[in-house]
Amino acid sequence: MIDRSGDRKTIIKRKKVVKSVLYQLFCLALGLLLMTPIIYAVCISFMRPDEVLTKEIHFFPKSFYLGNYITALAQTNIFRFMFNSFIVAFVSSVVRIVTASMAAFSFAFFDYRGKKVLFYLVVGSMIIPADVLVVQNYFTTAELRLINTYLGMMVVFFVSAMNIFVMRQHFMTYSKTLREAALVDGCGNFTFYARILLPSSTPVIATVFISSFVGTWNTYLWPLLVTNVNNMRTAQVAITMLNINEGSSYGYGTIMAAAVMILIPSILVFLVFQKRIVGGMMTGAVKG
Amino acid sequence: MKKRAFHFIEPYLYLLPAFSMLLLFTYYPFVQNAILSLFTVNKFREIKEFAGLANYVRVLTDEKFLRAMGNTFIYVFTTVPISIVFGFALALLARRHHRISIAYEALFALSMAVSASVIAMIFQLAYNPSMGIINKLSGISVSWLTDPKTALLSLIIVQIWSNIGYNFIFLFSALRGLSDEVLESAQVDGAVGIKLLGKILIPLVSPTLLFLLVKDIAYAMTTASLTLILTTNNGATGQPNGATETIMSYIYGKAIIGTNYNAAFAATMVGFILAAIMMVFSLILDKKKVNYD
Repeated sequence: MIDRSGDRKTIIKRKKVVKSVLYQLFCLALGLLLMTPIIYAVCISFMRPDEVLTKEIHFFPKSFYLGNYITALAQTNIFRFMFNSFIVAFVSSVVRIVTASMAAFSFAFFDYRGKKVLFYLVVGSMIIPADVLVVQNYFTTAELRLINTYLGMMVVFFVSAMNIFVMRQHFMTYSKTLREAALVDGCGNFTFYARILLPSSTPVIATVFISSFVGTWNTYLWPLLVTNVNNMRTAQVAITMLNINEGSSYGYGTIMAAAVMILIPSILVFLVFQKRIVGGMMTGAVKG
Repeated sequence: MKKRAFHFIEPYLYLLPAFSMLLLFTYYPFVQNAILSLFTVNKFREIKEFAGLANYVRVLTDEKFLRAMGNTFIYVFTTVPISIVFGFALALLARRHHRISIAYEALFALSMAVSASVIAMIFQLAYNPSMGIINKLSGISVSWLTDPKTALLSLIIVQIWSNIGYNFIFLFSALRGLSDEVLESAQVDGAVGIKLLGKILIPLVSPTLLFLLVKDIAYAMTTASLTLILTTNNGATGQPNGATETIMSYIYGKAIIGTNYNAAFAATMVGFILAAIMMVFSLILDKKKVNYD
């Protein structure tokens, strides 16, 4: 007698494996389809000018042509633009963490008059979309003589109500007894905040930092408003100025090469820290 | 005595940096804008006379602004639901863990890391009537961004693409966060397919859906980036002929390109109030439908 049931089991198992593989391949294909615009940009960035201009349909470049990248690097200030973006994104993310963690520390660990009202002021500010304020903020920044300065490009990003909220949620779960023990040991509040609370909160700090970095790196409207000299443009603003409609003569190949280059940092940060970004957003945004 | 005083003000000191920025760049500009919108100001923003609601009347009877409002509503009512549905569908597909799921999860989420200006530049080429891939592949000949019939639609498509990653990632982590027991017991009770989706999954992730709804609406109501990048030429916003003008691009055109602050300030308040109404509306929905258990 041959063990038929065993056969059937392997067949069922095999069917399941095939199904699962097909399912995953389907999802992968769908993902690639969704990313067609990015793949398209990468392909164009490696095409020779006549390949871009042709009326024939072809998606992939015929050769691995680097001329567009060389033009983008040599004729535009792309490194300067990316450096500007980096400074703005990095410094404002760091400052955000300082302002948000201090405020969250106050909200989570102290009792005082007016705390509720002050907290409502923080939460309430979230209903005012930032873009609604850009015009008035532009005047303030101009009056402070911060047009075309890094400080001016960053200053509106120095506080984020959402970050305060996320960090407060996190600090609320922090053990109160640990803090009391620290205070009994003669540790002042600030020492507790700087030496104990912050170092033990690195996961939430990392989350806030990363999502902040990607967000400010990608921002467009504000840096457009407060800069008007080429050298101070951020990458996101500069790329739209390579635009053919704006009267410049860079071909689409070069523009796509520049686009790919300024995509790389945010995509890298995003891919490496994807899980953290999600985790941190969730704790603050929804579970609260 | 000194020590007690310090003890009293200490918690406020920790709030000081955050609140000084919040006051200077959120509350002050908001209040300033609200007040100035009630006055006639010159191009140096000096108050000339009290205007009451005259600025509002002028803006609300300006055909260009009405067009911008209409476009903004079309923008909100298309981009928000469609991108949430797409994001949710992708999240359902990626819900179960598989060997290579990390790869397609990343692909589904990636549009979140792509800035408005980069994706706008890519689509500008794709929409190009002669060398763009869209006309080449479809064989039709449409001037996507300059034809009044397709211009707004073109921006809406770009915006939907941009939103999908963001919506996916939130809904995906909400679905992954559901406990297996809840889902298994639901399946034992005969909830599969559409029933599982409608009776179990959607109610369970409703807080996330609501959060995305509010956030996406606020964004779509107050965005101008795509209009400014793709359909603004020689200082005229929202081309062709106002077809892609949004409330924010109208404000940008009035305040930054022109110096008509009377219109800009009133339009800003109208934009804010409309966005706030939409958000409150979703929150009312929240009270009725959303399940926080």
